[in-house]
Amino acid sequence: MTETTFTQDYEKRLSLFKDNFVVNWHEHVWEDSQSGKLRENSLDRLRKSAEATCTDAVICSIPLSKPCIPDDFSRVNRLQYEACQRWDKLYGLAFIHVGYTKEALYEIEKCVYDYGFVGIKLYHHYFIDDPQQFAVIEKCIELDIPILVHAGKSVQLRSTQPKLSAGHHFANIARLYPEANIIMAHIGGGGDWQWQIKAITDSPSIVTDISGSVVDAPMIEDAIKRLGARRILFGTDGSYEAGVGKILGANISEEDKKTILEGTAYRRFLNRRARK
Amino acid sequence: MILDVSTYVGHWPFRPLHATTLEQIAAIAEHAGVTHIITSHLHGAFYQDCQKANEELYEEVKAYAGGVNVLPFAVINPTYIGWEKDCNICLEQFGFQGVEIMPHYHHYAWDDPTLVSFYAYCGERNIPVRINNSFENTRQRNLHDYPLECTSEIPKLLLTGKKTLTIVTQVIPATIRNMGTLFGEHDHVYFDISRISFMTSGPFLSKLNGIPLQRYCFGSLNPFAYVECALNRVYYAEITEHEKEGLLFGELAAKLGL
Repeated sequence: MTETTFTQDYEKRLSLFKDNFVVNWHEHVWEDSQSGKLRENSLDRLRKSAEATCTDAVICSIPLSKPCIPDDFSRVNRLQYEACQRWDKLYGLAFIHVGYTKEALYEIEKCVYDYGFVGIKLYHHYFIDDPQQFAVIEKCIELDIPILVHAGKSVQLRSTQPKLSAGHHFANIARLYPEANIIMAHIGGGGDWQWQIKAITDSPSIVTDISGSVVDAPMIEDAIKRLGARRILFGTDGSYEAGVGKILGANISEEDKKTILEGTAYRRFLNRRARK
Repeated sequence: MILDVSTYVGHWPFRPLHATTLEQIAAIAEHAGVTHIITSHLHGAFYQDCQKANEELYEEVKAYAGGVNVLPFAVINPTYIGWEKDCNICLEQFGFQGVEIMPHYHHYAWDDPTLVSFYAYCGERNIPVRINNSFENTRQRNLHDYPLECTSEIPKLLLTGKKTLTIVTQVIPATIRNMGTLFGEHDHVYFDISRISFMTSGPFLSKLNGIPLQRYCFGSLNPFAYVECALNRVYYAEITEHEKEGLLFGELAAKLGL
């Protein structure tokens, strides 16, 4: 009998990814702050990782952690568009700062209609239930596009992001705008994921993605129990091994794994690019 | 063969784990393809007298009849009464293969003279020592848990002796960067790869920070974390198949007599 290698053995387990449509709802490419151009290796590494994990679609944005003005978010969205032009599996999310309502609304329309982006990305400039968000949320409802929102619940450490949205902020906004399609980002992004999952349990319009470097078990099983697979999206946010491992290791049904990988409930948003 | 250097038996007081008994933890390991596990009892971090936890682990190991090779490590608090006798019982009567120290839970410093002396004691007697940098990410750690990573503290101990075979688990990349400078030449210290990401952050070898590849090993933190996340780090690493096999069951396994 021929002895198999670790790689050969492990590849069999990855057939789940090979044999199914896989959408990664949380990734980034980055701007080179010196040149103002796309950081090439960020796109190269992302592409390589996505190909290695048989990912069919990668939803991507370029958020800016520093204070930004409309020229800044317009610039990075243009870079995101360039990246999408170079790789057909890449789908863009428009990054905006809701403190600039008029410009943000204009940018969203431009990104959707001119760039073919499939949604928007919000950072921690305001809590998601802050009234400053309302005009942008209403615009996304009008355009029927999803909103990916940076999120987390810090426990011990004082957050360096004082307006980081936690699960209860999402529950609040779901009550105000139940028709909005909002993704509470990365339950594995660091922080109390139990809080995050519990907080949105009774908010069926809020979905979450599994991205982030935190690989606590049984995070996925808990999310399935409370939310169901249709409210969970596959994502990595820079931690590809972790994202794939969480799906492979979770003690849930194959059907639920496939539902998460495909992002069944959100699959229709990928058709948005056809508008372009 | 795969040696997982980072597994634990028992309950964790701050959140429920999906496996708590040796049988359950070994079953998860076996399902993932792991053939050997190093394990100690979590209760040893919290009991006043951690020898009680070692006795619990001994009972579980005795009763275990599964297919995974179990290497039990005793939790030893060298500042607690009777540690030397406890250590002897664990190693000689219980057949344990090494010890785990938990200064962050037993409330003494990493450069406490008692610990330094114990570390040397282990080196002289060829007792492997395991150190866990952190069980949970600092961002979600319970308020009653140890507050910070031990990143800058652990080297204070490791630098005191070159004889003691030491496994440091759950080290974050920043820690390895620091330790790479300190321990590149120290072939008594091994690091697991459980928290190093290679795919989107760069090639494997550039992340080694001056520590030879053979001084890395495989650790999953089962049952706190999904074993497959750590296996993926090996699978996707841009290294040869031979090097992957070495990470999974290499130099450290040989030094442990496996």
